[in-house]
Amino acid sequence: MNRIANIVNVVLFIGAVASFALGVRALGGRQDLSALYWLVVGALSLKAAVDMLRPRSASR
Amino acid sequence: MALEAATANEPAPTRQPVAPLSITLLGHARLLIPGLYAWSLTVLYPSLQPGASLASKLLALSALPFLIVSPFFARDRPGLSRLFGIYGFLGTSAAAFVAVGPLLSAERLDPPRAALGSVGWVLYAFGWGRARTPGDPEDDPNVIQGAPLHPRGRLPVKSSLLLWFSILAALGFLALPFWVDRREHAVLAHTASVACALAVLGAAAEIALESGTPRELASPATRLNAIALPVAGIALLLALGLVFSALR
Repeated sequence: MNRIANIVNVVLFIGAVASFALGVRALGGRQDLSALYWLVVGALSLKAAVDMLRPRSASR
Repeated sequence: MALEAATANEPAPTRQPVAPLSITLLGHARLLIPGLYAWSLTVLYPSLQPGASLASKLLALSALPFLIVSPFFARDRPGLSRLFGIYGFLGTSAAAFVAVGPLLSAERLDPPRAALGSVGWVLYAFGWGRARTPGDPEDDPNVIQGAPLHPRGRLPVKSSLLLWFSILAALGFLALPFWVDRREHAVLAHTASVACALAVLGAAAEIALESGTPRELASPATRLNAIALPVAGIALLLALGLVFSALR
């Protein structure tokens, strides 16, 4: 189970990196809406990847 | 023996951090010089161009006193110093930027001056960072007692790989905007890519350090539950993206 959580963590991180890259690339391709979309997806993925390390319920 | 006992009973002399004049001057210069450099290149110069409004000139000049007075409060009243040196100086500089208007559009920017100005602002930001004061941190009366921190060690291979991946990704982000051909969008792309690179580096460092320390993480179920909301948001966005691309 711990291994699965670690894999999900890394997958979310790599997903965030890919989404950011797609977002910046879409800006160059004159697709502003698409760029915004991928940047938001990347931000959410990165937040999830970091939140997994210190879950709020564990720190309370 | 008696002398030793008396010495043992005496309270240990507290070491007060001493700030000689050279350190004080160095601290003032650290705050002043990068700010002056960035201000003169990116705020004063455009506002003195022919065609710049009087308001931009006045705002640009009014930023300078905020910067100059800020170091003098840095030691005794750091809050006031930051109010002047960061909020006052940056606020009036930003207002001057707005008042300059079209003279600062991407088409009329001088790339070397803009690049040097950016370096100046970066140095200004670093100047406001706080260096550790002389003396042992444990001697500080406000120190929070707790378990000693883990000493520095080598990261596990997996963490190192993740860190290197993030560094390469960050470099890739910084390279991507050079392919954006629209000038205004290129500036936005550079800003977005720097923000992405910083976010990815920060997150990777956190993940690498957390997985590399011997401290126990929360249980896997707790960790997976903690991301339910962001993952639901990601799933919703991906579903919307699929629907949008199918309809287009």
